[in-house]
Amino acid sequence: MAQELGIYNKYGLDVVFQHKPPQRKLISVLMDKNADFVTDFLSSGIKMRSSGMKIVNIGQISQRSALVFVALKSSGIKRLEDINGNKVGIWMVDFQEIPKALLEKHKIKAEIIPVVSGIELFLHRGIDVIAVMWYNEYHELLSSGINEDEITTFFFKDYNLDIPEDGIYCLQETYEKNPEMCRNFARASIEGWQAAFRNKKRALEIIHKYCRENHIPYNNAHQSWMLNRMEELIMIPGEEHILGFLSPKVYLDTAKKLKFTGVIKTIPDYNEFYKDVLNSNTSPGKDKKTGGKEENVQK
Amino acid sequence: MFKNRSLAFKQSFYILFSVIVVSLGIFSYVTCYVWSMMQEGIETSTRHIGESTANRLDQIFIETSRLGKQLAIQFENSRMTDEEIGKLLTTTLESMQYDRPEIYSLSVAYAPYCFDKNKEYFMVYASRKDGGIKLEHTGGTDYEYFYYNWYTLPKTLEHAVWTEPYFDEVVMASYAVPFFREQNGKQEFTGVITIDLSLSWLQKAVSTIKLNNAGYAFLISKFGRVITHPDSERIMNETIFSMAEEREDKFLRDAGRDMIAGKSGLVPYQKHLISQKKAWMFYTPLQSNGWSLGIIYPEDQLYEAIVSMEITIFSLFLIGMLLLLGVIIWISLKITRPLRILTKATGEIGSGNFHAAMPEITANDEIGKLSKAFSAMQSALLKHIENLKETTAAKEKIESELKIAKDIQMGILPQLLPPFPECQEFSLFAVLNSAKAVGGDLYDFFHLDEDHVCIVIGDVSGKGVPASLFMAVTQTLHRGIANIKMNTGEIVTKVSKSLSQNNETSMFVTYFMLILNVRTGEMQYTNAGHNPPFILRNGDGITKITQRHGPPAGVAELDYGMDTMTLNPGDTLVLYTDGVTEAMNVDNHEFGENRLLGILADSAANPAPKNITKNILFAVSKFTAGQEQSDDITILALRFAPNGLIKG
Repeated sequence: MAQELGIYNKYGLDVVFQHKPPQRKLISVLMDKNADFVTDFLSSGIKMRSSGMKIVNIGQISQRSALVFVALKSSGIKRLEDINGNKVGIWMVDFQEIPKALLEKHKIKAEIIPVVSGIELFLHRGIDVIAVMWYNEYHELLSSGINEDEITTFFFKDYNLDIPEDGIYCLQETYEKNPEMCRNFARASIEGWQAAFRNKKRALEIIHKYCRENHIPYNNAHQSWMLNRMEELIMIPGEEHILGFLSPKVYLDTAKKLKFTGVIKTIPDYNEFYKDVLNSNTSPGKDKKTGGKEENVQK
Repeated sequence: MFKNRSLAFKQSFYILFSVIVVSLGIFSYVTCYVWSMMQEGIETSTRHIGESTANRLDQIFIETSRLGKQLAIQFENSRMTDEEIGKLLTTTLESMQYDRPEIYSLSVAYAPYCFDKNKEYFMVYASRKDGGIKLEHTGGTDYEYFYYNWYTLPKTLEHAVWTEPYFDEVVMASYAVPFFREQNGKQEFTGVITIDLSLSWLQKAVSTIKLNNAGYAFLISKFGRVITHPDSERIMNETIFSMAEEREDKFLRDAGRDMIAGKSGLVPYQKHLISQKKAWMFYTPLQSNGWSLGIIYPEDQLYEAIVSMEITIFSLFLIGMLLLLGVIIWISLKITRPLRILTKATGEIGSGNFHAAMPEITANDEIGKLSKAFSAMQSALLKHIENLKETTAAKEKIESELKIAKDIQMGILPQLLPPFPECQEFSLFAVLNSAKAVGGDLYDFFHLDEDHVCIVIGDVSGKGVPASLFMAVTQTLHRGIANIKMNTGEIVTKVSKSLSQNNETSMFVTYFMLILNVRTGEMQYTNAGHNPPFILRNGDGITKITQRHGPPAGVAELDYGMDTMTLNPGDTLVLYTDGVTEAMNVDNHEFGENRLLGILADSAANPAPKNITKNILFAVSKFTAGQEQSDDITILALRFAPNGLIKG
């Protein structure tokens, strides 16, 4: 949206989007300097920083967790404890520790089946439970003929694992060299989201165009669902002013949970991890950044 | 509802209405029947087309799966070297080049350390490239194939599976077969064979299905993904469920669930893709992979034949109804024509023209009979009128004669009232009201000499003409017999004897006679069975003359006696017949003596004879209000005033 409406240009940026192959980890793209900015989950960001990678978060877009375990009622799973002894599909991604942590926290012993992506194994009943995103795969289940009343859901946010998700990351080096560009990029991206929620019809048209160009399946019902759910995750009612902001409390809560579950050993310093470029008092820069790249995943 | 409408109208309306109702019922039944037959036929033919197409499509999937299973058996039964594997995949793919060019690539992927104890990844991939076969070894940390659906699905499910279609330059689907090897007496999962099938041929195969040049077909995967569709935008982008959600079409979603459940059926479909009109959808599964074929056909074009047949039938029905209406109106008018003529004729008769001509109706139906009955009625009516005329004439004649008789009877009675204008000693007033034309009451008064006046009142038994004749005889008798030398007893005796002779009808007359000396007020009287008269004494009450001297005159040849008494100046003598005291009111109560006495007492202030007579008549008339007079009423009042001082 920000690109299509020329918001990046307004901020003096020339942005090129790249789509990462599913098997590549996002932040490794950043480390390899294939892109200036990437979006990734907060848990992944903290994990990378904790492991010594010099990356910084310059904008926390999603403020809530959209992770949810789903199971078919027909499999007899009605309560979280019922997962015991069943097969649980978890994607082979950076945040796979979170679903595992939820199971461990509740002392649930399940057979973890790693899945690259998608819900096909679940649809074939190869697994009994799968961790999915509320804004995406949950709706794919509905679009595959499963009715809502046939599904049992366990939202992670209801189990004290409300970990914010997508944020914008760049190398610390990039930030230090060009804070102005980082700030402009974060601001433009936020404005892009706001514009998308204001004019969803236009947003859907743009999404359609990008999907078509990249051979990504598009249908209106699904993308509308995604856009509406993303709005719920990004624009928290009553907290719109913190849009894009990573609060120290949320950061520490998340980091502690990751440490507690053994994902990280040390908690990186908040001020080193998060750069509040959105609220720094500098006007949009004039220096034009050419050839800037952002890695993004179109869900 | 049609009260004021003609018979022809009512008849036409009800017949036509009934015919329309019955015809529409039959029409609806036939239509429903034909529709169901047509629908059944269409369903059968659609089912046939659908199933044969599904079978045709299935062939390729079945062949592919057969090939996959054969390869799996080969891998299960022999431990091939890397080269042998490459050769097997290459030759297999080559052999398929002409028969099954849709098979794009083959691969075998081993579970970790199963091909080589030292190798975690081992995967060989053979694909068509530039007219030849390209062989690749793949797998590694950058491609951890163990987590991909084509690998995890057969591994987890432990049986071969068709993956959901995916896009890789063209739409593809993979058939993934697990193979196992016996280890430690157990079948251990060893790897997966995949056969990747290009689905571009499907689009062509499915699009060839045409139904009445209006329908179209589409194919969905096991989980509803659109694989072929006339609208290429939908292919791989939509699922049948996302389409249902977009249209908010619950029925489509339900049908989609049936489709992916491997069922077949025929359901209404909201809109045809091209015509945007209501359509039907038939669906049937592909047996090999659980995919489902949907055929959509627009309702209107499909049912064109039925609609056209219905239009024809309905047009014929309308024409038939119009013809029927004409015939009914014509028949109705024809049937009711004599009725209308009859109505006119009877109307004329009703208005007084009894000689109006009746229509000549020869038919012997109800109307003919009615007409004859009317004619008979007309004749009877004419005859009756003739009789009535004669009767009326006779009656008028009798009435006229009775009127004359009445005049004669009245002529017998003294007409001059007050009777003796030159006589100052008394005043007298009398009245006789007959119940019928002529009556049986009588009164009389006449001078016997200068000082004596004879006064009579009587009531003949019975009424009417016989009584009036008897009265005339009585009146004539006492006029002829009475003279100054005889007293009242002798006169009454003589009158009674004359009456009783030759009295074959046994009639009689109650009779009261008095002779008054107008100078002295002395009077002699004889009462032959008559009501007792009253004397209204001048200021001294009422005296009843109760003395009787025998039965009514004419009963037998008896001698009557007499009595005397004196009237004082100012006394008033009141004579009356039983028509006064026996007058009946509506409750069958008699007027009675007591009421008469009351009237007399009330009249004491003005005891003039005329006034008393008038008061009594008024009281009786008031008492009997509404009742027919049953008996003759006669009243005679006399006031004695010897000095002429009192005027009445």
